[in-house]
Amino acid sequence: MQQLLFRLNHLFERLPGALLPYRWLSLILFVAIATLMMTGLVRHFAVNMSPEVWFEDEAGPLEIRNAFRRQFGSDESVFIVYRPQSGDVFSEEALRTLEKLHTTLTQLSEGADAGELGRIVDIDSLYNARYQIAQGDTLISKKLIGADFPETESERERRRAIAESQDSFERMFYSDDFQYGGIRIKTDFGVVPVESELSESATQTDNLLADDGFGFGLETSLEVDASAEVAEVEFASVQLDEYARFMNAVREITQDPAFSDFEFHYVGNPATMDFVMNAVIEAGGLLTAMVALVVILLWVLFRSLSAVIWPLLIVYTSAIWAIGTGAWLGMTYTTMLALTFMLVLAVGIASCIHVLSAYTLFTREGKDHHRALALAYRKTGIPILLTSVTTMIGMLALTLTDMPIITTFGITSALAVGFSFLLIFLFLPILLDIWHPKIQTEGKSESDGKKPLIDLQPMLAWIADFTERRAKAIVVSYVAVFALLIYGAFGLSIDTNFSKLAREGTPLQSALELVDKDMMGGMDLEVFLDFNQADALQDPAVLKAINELQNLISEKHQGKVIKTFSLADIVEDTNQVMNGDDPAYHRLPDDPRMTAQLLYLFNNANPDDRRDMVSDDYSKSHISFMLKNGGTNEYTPFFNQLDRDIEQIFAPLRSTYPDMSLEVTGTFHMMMNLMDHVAWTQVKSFSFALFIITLLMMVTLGSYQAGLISMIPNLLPAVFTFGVMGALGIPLDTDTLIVAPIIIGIAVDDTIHFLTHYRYTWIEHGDVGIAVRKTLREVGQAVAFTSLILGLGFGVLGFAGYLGLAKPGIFGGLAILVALLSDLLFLPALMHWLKPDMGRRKVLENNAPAPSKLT
Amino acid sequence: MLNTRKLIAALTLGVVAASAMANDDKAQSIMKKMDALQREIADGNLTRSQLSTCKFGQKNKQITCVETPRVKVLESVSKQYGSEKKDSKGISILLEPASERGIGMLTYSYDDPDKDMETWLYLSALGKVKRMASGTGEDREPVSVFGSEFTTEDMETGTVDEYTYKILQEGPFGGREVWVIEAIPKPIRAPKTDYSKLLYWVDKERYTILKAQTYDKRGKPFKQIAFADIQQIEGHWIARDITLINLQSQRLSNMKSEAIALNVEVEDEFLTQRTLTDFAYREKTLEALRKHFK
Repeated sequence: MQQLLFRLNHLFERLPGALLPYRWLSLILFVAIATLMMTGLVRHFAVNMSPEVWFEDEAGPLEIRNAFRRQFGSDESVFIVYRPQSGDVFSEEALRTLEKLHTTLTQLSEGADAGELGRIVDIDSLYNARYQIAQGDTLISKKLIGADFPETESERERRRAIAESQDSFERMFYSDDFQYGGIRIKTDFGVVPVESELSESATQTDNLLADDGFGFGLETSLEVDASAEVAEVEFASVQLDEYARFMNAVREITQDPAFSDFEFHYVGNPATMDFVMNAVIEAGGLLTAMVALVVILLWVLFRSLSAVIWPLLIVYTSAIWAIGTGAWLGMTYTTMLALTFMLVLAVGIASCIHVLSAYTLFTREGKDHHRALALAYRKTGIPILLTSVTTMIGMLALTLTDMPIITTFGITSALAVGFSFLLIFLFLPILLDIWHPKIQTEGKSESDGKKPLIDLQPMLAWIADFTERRAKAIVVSYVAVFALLIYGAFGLSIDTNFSKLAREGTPLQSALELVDKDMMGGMDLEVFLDFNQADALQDPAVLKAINELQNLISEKHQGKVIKTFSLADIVEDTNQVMNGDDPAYHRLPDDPRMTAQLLYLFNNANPDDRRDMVSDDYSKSHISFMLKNGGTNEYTPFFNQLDRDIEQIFAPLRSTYPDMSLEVTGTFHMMMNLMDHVAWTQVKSFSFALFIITLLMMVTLGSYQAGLISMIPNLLPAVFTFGVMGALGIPLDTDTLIVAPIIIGIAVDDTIHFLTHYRYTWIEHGDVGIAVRKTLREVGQAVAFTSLILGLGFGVLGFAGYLGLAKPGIFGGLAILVALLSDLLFLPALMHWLKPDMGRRKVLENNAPAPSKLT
Repeated sequence: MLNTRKLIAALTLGVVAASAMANDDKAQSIMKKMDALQREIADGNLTRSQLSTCKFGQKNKQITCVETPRVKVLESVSKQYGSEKKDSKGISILLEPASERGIGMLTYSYDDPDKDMETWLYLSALGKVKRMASGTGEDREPVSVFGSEFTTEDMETGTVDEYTYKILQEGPFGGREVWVIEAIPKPIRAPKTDYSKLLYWVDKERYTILKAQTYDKRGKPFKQIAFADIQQIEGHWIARDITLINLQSQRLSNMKSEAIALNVEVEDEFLTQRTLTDFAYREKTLEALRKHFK
């Protein structure tokens, strides 16, 4: 192994010189490959921004949700909470404004030119909420306001009293203190058919006298033919920008001065997705800012435009090659592409800095261009190879997941890192030969080149002395701090919470808080019941089981469940109303004929609501749970318990309904499960990658001891980040868990550079002092530069309004700086104190040709 | 020199406009006539109908049920009132399915738009009559007829003035000469309808509808209604087999008039709440009326 590494060192040294004669061939090859990849990008590149791409095709949860949606329509509603200036939703002005808003939205959502608002399927508010009350022998089922506006104070109070008598209105349409009102906008998100044959052929032909206006004959048969083709609707997946466009259209209406009396808040999946879409746009902007910062820092540090343009060219080319390859292979990309770019930007720039830094160091020492280049590649070759390989392993570990999106991300990122490695070794030398930074040689006049703006060498020399003098103190204080942080890390939880993705006080965050406190809660969950038998839902035993489940869940999870709805509630309410509003009748009758007739009545009075609740043949229904917003940590056990409770309560019905299926579904449930799954998958891939990388380090550093020592500084950034997060009570969410390994991976790259270099120097000289000093001098600057550039670069992401990006940005930036401190202080101190052999003896015993002098 | 050209243009325009008006007027009068015929049919009418509803599928362009249809059988009696016989009273009793047997509904509707429709419902399992008050005018949205795909809107009469009509085409259709008439709801109708447009294929000779198509509020195809088995009974042309295909819910409903008796003498007492609760009275009266079944 050591022989191989030694040969590699030679190869890297000779590479720049060997390549130069073929520079034109290389350039042509480079352009040819770039063209090929660009063609792939233009022809086959596809981005899917639908949240659904996270699920495998034909995956269970999506299928269940689609079955639910086919029956009951979309579960993605926008819930608008409004607060009238009067502070009372039943004040005259508030009701007038509501009337105007409700009718405006209704009118604008109808008609062929409704645009985005055409996605509105239904609007529910106090204005059109239908109540059902008994008055003597009269059963009144009316809209609360509707065309009959309450003109007088007493009439308004009467309506208020009616609203209070309706179980389902509270928190849905008004808050307990009447300060807030709610408008639910049902949308068609997720239920727009891909392309239905029937709807396509159903366009009216010009000749109205042809017999098949809607595309089929007039002959119909009531004979059952199960083989007839049912136009089973496949739903088109919804892209993020569709949510954003819809929410903008809604806000455009609510911002009209006519509704200035109301203060609005929006929740529901479309509102959350709108926020996520904005976060994606913002991330694009921040990524640009990150690149700009890198450009500025590169120029400041190297004072040459070539040191800016060549690294960026390498980074962009690797990204294009990788994504182009993916496009040719037919991969579909998501917003995670931004992460791939971030990764290759960090890894590519860092590697270039190491090469450039070494190159400038040697030119400052007076070496000519070709010699300096050869030495720079010799010195940095192995570490760059190692960092590239370890990063690729980390990324390829992601392909072990069962999620196609993460697999695609892993492969593309690994490819990009691989390409950047190839380009740095095969192409950068040619580029540097054409144009390279001219640095003033030490002790010579300014006319020979520019003086570096920042000269770190004096400081690095001081650090070398300091770490020698205070070795024990440094190590002990490091260990103490990190012991504390490890303790802190025990407090770390893995939790993804939608409301915590937005900053405190942002509209989404405050809206979610508000609905949890005063209204229906930010989340809803559906239990989809399919008994596969007509009229099952008129069976009192079934209704009672539904009722029992609702009661059990409400009682068990009082802090989470705000309200539950089901067909059983409707039967109970109707039973009471039909029996002179006597609360004693607020129960489920035992007589199946009675339940059937109560449901008949409900259907007669309110067929739309009935259809929302139960299928026409009474075989399918659903129970809705309105929940407070919470994280995966809280809800994963809740979901598991719910599954068990459902199984237990409905088990006795299985003999009557052997084909029944009871599934928990809804966007909230799906997303929560997904987040949890992604988080744990990340944890697993991350641990796996760490294990493989440790093995790799042991092999390349030639000793177990060196390998294990290398893992200490490697783990420090992670321990630091997780420890601080744990101590501050900030949970690791899915987004952080996706980004964190990338950043930590980048942070450890510098450690690899430091240790590889140290080991060679140590083997060569056998003196810790010399080895540390030389290492600090030769890689200290590059390590400091990359950490500065990447730390600040990631720090830029900290400005994101989306905490899923801001958190990894801030903590990632910090992790990189911690890694820098470890490399500059802790590692040298540790070497001074422990003086690890790092396989030196073995090398000498084997009499392997010792790595020759590096300079 | 007065612009003769302009004059001619104005005249031509006038003629075109006038003929368009004539077309609209004609369409309007056709619909009015049909509406009047419907009311005549409803005056002293006993029908036993079977209402079947199922999810449908397609095979060789033919629509067929893909599940066992849910069947309801009901008997309805109706009679017209008022000076112009524009008000109506009707009663329907469910015979099947067993769980809903005996449920009855009594409805009084008035031509005067200010007068609310009155409905009483009797649930046999509960043994109680309830008057149903479900709002007026704009708040009266179309509701399903006995849980089928037919809505009250599809069965309504007396609303001709709430639409503007136009004859789109004339010619042979299914062996009969027809007008194809388009109906667009006027603003007054808008809140009470599910449709943005309706098309009727009207038999020129018999003044019966052969086919209808409706479009939802976004202008998308919504329902198709086919009228079949058209028979002449007591001088009236009646479709005894009506199938409504709802393209959006993918369900169809078929209404078969198994037995019809027209121009029968219905005593006023029968169209009261008594019929809902008094089983013996109801059966006795119906038995007499059923003798006229055709």
